[in-house]
Amino acid sequence: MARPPATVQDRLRAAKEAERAAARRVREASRARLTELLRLAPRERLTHLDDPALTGPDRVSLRRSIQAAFARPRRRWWPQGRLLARGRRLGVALLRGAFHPAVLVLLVIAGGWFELARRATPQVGRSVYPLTTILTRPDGSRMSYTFPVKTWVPVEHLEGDLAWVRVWDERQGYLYGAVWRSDFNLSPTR
Amino acid sequence: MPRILLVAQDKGGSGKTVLVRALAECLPAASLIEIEAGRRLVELDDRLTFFPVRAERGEINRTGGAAARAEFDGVLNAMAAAEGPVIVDVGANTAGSLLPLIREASGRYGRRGITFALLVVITSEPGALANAPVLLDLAAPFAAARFVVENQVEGPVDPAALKGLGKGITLGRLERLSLDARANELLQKGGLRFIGEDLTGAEDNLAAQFGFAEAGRIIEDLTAFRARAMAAAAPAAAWLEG
Repeated sequence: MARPPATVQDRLRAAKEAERAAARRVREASRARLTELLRLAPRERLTHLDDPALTGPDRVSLRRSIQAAFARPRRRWWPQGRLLARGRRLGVALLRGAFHPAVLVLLVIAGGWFELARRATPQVGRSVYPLTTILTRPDGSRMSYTFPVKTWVPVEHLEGDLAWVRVWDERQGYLYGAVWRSDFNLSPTR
Repeated sequence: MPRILLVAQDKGGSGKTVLVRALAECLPAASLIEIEAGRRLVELDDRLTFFPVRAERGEINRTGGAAARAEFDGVLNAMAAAEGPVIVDVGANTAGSLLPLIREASGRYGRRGITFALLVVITSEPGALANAPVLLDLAAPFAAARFVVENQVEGPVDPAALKGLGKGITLGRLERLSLDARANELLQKGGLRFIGEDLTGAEDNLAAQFGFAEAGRIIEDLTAFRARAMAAAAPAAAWLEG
């Protein structure tokens, strides 16, 4: 015959083991009973909902098995609900993507570039007649230049009756000159 | 060296006897002294010396404690004769009179190599809360160790009150456990010793009486209660073991 544990720690350990073993036995008995009950027809299972051999979680399992057995499946001829749900999920995913930090950073950078380009773009006018102007180079020398009729002319700014225009030269950059304001239609961009 | 653990709380119904039973389960070698109006630790009869307390609180107060002192001679003698670990279940309304007597005689007990410790059971009941620090102070001069077990039977004790008990006190906790009604009945009848020694053997009888499933739950509840009560008493039992 096994001797009872001698020290306080041993006896405490044995008491805890006895507690665990008792709980295990109850769980196993309940699980075995649940397995038996699940073999019954759903209507018969109904009469065992309060079976005293079942633990709480196993009682819930039995109840759910009955609910599942009695639930009437709904037949769908048109998968409208499914499509709507998919659309809703997609919308939510897009919304989440739109608020992603990387997307927000890119938007801020793009906004900065857009504003810079907007400020650097002069007003545009369309020439009514061929426009002849004297352009000044960066070195101070001058040259004559004619805008053909019906072309878009970049207007740097307006000064009384004059409009200051600019022309891009690949070697020297922008060349500036003045024309009569009345000689072309100004675009309403500014 | 004999070690004596006094289990006290002057407010009745605090769970002293449960803790004494748990201590007895932790340490089967310990003998027990029960100081009560009526014998309660009947299942531990083979290890127990019982001292009935007849004096009522009113009489003790009226005679300045003399009524109680005369009754405690037997208890003090039994403690002086201790040879191994002893658990003393000090009944309600008794510790306030007994502890000063032990304090007075502590030098003489010391010469016999006897050491004392005190375990106070505390609940959230105001009377028990108020009595615990009084008993701990009374034992401070002579107790080698002081333990407090918070019995949550009436709900958790305010942590501030536990903290206010002072330093050098080992705290334990007995959590509230709701027992099956029949399990509770068996606990009252048989105590923790029955659970430890005879419960598994009694499973067939229980199953015949209450059905297989309920018998399983009764055993589960009772073994859980025993294990938790023993865990709450374990630090004091370890001191008693030496």
